[in-house]
Amino acid sequence: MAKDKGTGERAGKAASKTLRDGRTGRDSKSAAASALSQKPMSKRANLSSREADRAVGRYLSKKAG
Amino acid sequence: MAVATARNVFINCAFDEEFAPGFHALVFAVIACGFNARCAREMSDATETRIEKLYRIIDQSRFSIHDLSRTELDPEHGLPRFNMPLELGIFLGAKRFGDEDNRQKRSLVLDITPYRFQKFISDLAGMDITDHGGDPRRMVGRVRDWLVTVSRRRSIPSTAAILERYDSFMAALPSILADEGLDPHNVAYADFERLVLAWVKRVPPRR
Repeated sequence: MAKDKGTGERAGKAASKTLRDGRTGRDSKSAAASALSQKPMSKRANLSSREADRAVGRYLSKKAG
Repeated sequence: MAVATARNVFINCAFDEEFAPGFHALVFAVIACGFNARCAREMSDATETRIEKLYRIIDQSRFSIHDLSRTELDPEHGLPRFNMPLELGIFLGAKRFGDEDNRQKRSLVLDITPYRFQKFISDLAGMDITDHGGDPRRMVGRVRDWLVTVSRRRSIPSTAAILERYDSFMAALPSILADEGLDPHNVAYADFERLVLAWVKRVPPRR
């Protein structure tokens, strides 16, 4: 079974930099695009449900005020 | 065997950065319609293998959404990505060979175009595949319409109402994440899900 539907975050950042570089050749860009397309979303949660609720509340209050 | 909950919707799609807008649209639509979004990215026991986690989530889900649009050749290896079709197959197997509860399962199969799938899973010929053209807003509408049909719930808001909340949430998300000191370009699934739940609770549909 594959580890995941994506590869590492570091590889994703390197691929993103390669794609933005105007000097990069076509083959390199193709390989970089492949790596970038497989960069996974982060798994680690940072917000509890309560913190997420407060974050949304703060945003809405700021917008309303 | 667990009882498949009629509130659980299993989401089977790619989790890479390129498909992140689509994945976010699917999760938002499911939650905004009043259902629980379930997917392999949710937190679980680290000792549980990925396939065991998938079996458990599929077993617990009455409904499922399978987006096959990222089933394509990897340019680096020249091989197709099979995870999404595999998980669709597991769900179809549970529905076909499972107990009475599992036979109640219902699926929405999405792809970019209506007939592309016939080139890589011809065995699905005759099934109703729904196209979305790769547009996240259209994905939201497709999921909403399907959930109305299969769940027969009258409490599900209109497509326009859900899209209005989706647009406002996606516009607000970068600011919310930045205010929390989080990277807007790499939001964790659990954080995204919790923020959607909070948004849906605090921003009721207007119509």
